[in-house]
Amino acid sequence: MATIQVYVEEQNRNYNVTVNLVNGVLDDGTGDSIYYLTLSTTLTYPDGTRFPTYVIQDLTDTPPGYGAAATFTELVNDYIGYFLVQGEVGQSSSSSSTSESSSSWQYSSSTSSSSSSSSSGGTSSSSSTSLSSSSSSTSESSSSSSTSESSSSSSTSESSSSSSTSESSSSSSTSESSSSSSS
Amino acid sequence: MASSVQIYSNGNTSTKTVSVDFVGEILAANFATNVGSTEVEYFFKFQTSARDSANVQLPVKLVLALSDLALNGNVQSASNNSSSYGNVHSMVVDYIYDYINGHIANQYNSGVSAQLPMKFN
Repeated sequence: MATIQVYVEEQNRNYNVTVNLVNGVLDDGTGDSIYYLTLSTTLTYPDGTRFPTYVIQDLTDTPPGYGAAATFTELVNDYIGYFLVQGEVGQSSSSSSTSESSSSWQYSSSTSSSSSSSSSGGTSSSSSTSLSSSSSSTSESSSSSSTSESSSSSSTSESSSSSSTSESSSSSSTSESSSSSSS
Repeated sequence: MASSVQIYSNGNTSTKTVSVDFVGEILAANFATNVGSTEVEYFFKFQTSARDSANVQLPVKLVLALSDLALNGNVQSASNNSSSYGNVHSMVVDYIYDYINGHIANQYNSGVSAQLPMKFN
C-alpha cells in the first residue's frame, strides 16, 4: 500500500492519497478473482463530496482528461494532480471580495506533498499548484500535476513565504503575491 | 495493502509465500536532484523468503510499468511474448509464475540470467 500525504499549506492540513493492491472480484460479471489497484483520497470536491474510489487495472485507467500513463509513477502523479485541480484545494481562492472593475492580480503558490512508505526508506513527492488571476473571469487549465486557475478579486496585497520539509529531502517553498489596485 | 500468495508444493507438503505490494519509494538508481523532479516512484514490489533449488535466495523484483516484462524486461516468463502486460493481473501472475518455475539463461532470447525453480523442501 502506498500512502501519499498531500500537505496544503493554506489550510495547514494534510490529505491522503492511498493506493492499494487488491486481489478480488470486480463487478464485471466474470466472477474471476483478479489483481488490481484501488486509488482513493481524503481530498474532496469543492462542495465537500468525496471523490470516488478509482479502480486501476492498467495504465490507461487514468483520471478524466488524462492520456495513458507510461509508468505507475506517472499514473499516481496524474491522479494527485487531478485531485488538486478538481478538488476543494484547486477551486478555492484566497481572496473573497469581488469588484466589477477589479484590476488584475496574480497569485502563485506551490504546495508540497510528502509521502511516506510503510517499509523501508523515506519517500517524498511533490506537485505544485499555481494560480493566476486577471479581471473577473475564471479560466482553468492543467497539465500533469500543475494547475493554473483564474479568479477575480479586488485589491489585495500580500506576500509570504514558508517552507515545509518532508521525511526525506523534500522541501518546498510557498510564496504568494498579489497586487492590484482598484479605482 | 500487500497481497500474499501461498504456493503449495506438488505434494502439498509445504508452502512458500510470495508477497506483492504497491509502494512509493525512492530508487537509488533513478534518484534525481533536478528542480521539479519527483524522487519518489510508485511501483509493484515482489518479495519472497523462498529459495531456489540451489538454495539461493530469490531476488526482490520491481515493476514500474506494464512493459517491465519478467525476463530481463524483454519477454514474459510464461510464454514467448514480448508485448506489454495487458493489465495488472496478468503482470502479477506472470511474475509469480517466474518465481515458481524459474527460467533458463537467455530464455526466449531475452538476455536474462538463469534462475532455478523455487525450492519447497
